[in-house]
Amino acid sequence: MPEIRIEKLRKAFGGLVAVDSLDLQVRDGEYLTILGPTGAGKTTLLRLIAGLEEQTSGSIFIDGKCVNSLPPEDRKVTFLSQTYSLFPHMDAWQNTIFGPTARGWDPEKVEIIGREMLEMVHLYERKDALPNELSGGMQQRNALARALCADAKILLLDEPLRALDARLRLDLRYELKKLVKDMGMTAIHVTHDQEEALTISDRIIMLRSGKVIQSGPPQEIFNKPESPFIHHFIGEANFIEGTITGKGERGARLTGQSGRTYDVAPTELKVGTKAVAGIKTEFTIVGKEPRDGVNDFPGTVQRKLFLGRFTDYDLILDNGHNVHARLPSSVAHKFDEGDRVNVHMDPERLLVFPVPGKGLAKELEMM
Amino acid sequence: MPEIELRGITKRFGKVTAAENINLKIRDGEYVTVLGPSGCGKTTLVKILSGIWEPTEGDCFIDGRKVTGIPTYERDLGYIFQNIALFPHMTVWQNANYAPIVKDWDREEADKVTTESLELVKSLRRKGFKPFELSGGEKQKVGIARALCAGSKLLILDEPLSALDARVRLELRYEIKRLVKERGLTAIHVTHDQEEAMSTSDRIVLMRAGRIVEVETPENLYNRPKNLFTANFIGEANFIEGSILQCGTGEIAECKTGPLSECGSDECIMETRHKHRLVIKNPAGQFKVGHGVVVMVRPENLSISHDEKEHSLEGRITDKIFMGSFIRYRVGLVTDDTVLVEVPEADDKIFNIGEKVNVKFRPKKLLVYPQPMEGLKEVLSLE
Repeated sequence: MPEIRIEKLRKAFGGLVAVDSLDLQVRDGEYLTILGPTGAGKTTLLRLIAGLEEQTSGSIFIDGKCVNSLPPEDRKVTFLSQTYSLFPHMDAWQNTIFGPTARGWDPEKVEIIGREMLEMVHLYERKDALPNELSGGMQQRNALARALCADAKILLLDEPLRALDARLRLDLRYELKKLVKDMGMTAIHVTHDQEEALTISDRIIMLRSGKVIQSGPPQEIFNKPESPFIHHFIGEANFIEGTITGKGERGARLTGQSGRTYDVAPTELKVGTKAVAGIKTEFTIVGKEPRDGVNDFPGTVQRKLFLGRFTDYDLILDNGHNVHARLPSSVAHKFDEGDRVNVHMDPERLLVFPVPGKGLAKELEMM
Repeated sequence: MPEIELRGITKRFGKVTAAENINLKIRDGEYVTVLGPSGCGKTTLVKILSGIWEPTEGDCFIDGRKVTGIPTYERDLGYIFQNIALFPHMTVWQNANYAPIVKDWDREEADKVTTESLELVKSLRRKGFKPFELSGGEKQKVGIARALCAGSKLLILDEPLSALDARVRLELRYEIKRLVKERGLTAIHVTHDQEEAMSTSDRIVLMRAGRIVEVETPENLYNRPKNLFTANFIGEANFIEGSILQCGTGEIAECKTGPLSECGSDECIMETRHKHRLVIKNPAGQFKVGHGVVVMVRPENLSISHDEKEHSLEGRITDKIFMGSFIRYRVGLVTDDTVLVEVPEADDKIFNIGEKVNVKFRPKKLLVYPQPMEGLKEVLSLE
């Protein structure tokens, strides 16, 4: 039962605190993603769990046992880094069975498990190839097979797909999760790619400045972000600053600095409180005509960027507000740069937050 | 006025052919991206254009001038690559200001260009920093600013953003494009990131295994790919293989998947694996009975339901992924194909893993290609 429990974990490098009194529990068989901007402490956290860094204070438990003083090889975890670190002079087979062989396992057993793992990552046919004869994706799969051969039940993955071509990344994401689930492993996967996190995780933890700022299934993180930062990090959001000026059963009203009013989602904040409201660009709807008069704003298309499935728009509203919108390309072809349009914001999707301590701009900074 | 032409460029390294018979024209002021999987020859192409490597065969022309044999520094181009080496002993300002000073520009003009370029990459406030005080992303930004300062009209960008964070990458790619357009530069940008290519380019040169597959606008590559490799590499795609059973109107042979709508005069009936059927368009009469075909359809152009029989294939949902504004289902079809189907998250019908569903293939949403001789898997392969 590889369950991981982390209590008040802290790691400081000199004066810089990378992980800040962090509590976390990972269930057996869970696929957990650690998501956050550069410098959030994601990799440090992973290295602490692996035993590659020593914590300044706090504890890590694996299967209920404190592993604080255990070296990496005794933690029943396997760490897959961004760069794979395959032995360049060994072929795919030798790389795969390196661990079991070094541990002096029965050669027959090594043969069986090695083959099983290479077949699982669809690489058995290339078992005689050296790393430099394999593509990036194949090397990644080779490293994965080697990691799986180590017979650890906890897999720690540090941006495992980062170095791959976009196309390959999409396929491997799916295979990686399937593999982990099929083998009944527990996985902790570090990424800064929010789409990757949405696709692959049972649960996402959002990390910022060494702290967990939200934890939950992808849908919850996306639909119920707990701060403007998270709202903006998962997807992208447009924000309005103002004051709560009314509250009803189904929502509230926010009056912006320009004096314009917006219908917004329900909030705990009291009337008269300063607040920030934000809506994801995917739910910022561009149309020819106003919808129903609620949160309908006339504006002009400034820039249109075709991305394939989606098309991104930069718009300027007549009230001077710049907003972004992301539309399915199937509807987006109707609007061009310079066109007069209506921008609609569904009140339920216009989420309300207290004004962040250091102001909105600071809150949204990625560092 | 930099206008570029590559004529019959081939580059061989021993037995390996990195680029083969490349012909390409780039217009003045155009922003062109060279896109393709790793090892496709895209970097080889720009190294030859910039004079870092000489071609084995063929010639490059810049503004009608043959530049084969002319060294890089006489080709008047800016080259930005993945990990730019800054001068370690110079500040950000001195690094960016280097080319204008060396070229002995008017001091005021030099400072203006440097300020502008550093501002553009949002590094002006760090102008007094030395490279070792900067993060990787910041160094890259200064490198870009330095290249811009050199004032060349032709800019070559070789994976300029790969080393950066997703968000920074997003911001910077818009800025680079804006700058290129504002200053009337011609840009050739190498990347393996399809989204980066889609969002910045006037045209994309898609490469595979040393050859050009297609040169097109982003819209055409996504909506009307000319071949199967393009369809698979740009965006997500589903493929169904089969053969033509019937063309045009006429009696429809008994059908396994329930009632088919009438096959129109400009349509065909295609038989899939396990003898299921789909109606496809055949406006130009390109397909004849017995032809092998491959149907390509984007996940967002399929829909699923419990009861819709027309143009549908049965299947079972094997996976369901929340993607923010939409949900992605993976469906195992009766044809033994697995398809991705994407529906808006707001759709009231949510289907569950294990459920039996019908997947609808609207004929006008399907692109049909002749069955490739070397096999579908081979054609889609990234190497």
